[in-house]
Amino acid sequence: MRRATSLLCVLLLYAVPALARAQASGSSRASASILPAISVTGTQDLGFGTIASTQVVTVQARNGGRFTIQGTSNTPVLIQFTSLPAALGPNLALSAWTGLANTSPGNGGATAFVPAPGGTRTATLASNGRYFLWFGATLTATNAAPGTYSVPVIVTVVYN
Amino acid sequence: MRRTALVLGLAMLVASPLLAQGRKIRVDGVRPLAFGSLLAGAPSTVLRTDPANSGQFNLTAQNNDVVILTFSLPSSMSGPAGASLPLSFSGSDAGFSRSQSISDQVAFDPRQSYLGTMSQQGRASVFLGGTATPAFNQRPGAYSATITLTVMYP
Repeated sequence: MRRATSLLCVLLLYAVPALARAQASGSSRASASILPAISVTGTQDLGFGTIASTQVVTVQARNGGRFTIQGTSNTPVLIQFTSLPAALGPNLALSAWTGLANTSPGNGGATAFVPAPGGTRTATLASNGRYFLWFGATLTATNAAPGTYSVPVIVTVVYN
Repeated sequence: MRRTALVLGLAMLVASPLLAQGRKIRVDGVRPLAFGSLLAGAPSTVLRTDPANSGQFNLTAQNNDVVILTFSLPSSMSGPAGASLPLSFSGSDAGFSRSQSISDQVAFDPRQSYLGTMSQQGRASVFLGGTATPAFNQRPGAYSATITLTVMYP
């Protein structure tokens, strides 16, 4: 009798851990995608050519300066017109900025817009990650001194 | 008598695994912890209360039973060409919800085991947030890691 009871206890001891071991596991994923840096390159200058000391010259955006943006394909970006200068130099006012935007390198079929200095524009990069901007402006020379003038036009692009 | 005890004992030995199997318990990963698109050098945190990006596990166990939750958390995500993206979890990055509602969670530390009580229907959910910390020279591309949640009866 005593032996049987002992055997039963031993068997129960085996049974208890089996009960406690009931468990289950499930898995999920953590994921992220690192975007490559955006590059913005001025690929063509906005040139007004040679002008008289007093003259008004307008360069259309389609013939103006061009920026090429390269980033992650099909990704929205925010374009900021960080610096659209108001002057090229003394007595050389810049005004009436115009713009064109396109996902292909040609400006045929590009979308016209009016860039405001310091303003922004949203866009989505093309399937090859590229985007193109053209800028035009009007230069008003009023008794400007002879010389060569240049001033940077700055565009900042960030993922949006 | 002796024979009876032996038979009873053997019956319990056979029965005990069956009892263990019969005590329902299940974990399903239903939503990944998604950090989305990140920029190199810019850390990103997903809150456990984020309905779209937090990780979610659904639990099924005995009604009103207490269970022990234990995460197996990766310290990084694997990416292209062997690159790794550091991943970290803080003391309140996990949440337990008997109602399975993301807006009704009790925060806990996913780095430590946690005791949770199942609902009357034997259900609960666990939500998980975390922080990804890409380096300034982090290689662009897709990164991922496996997160495992183990649930057991005490």
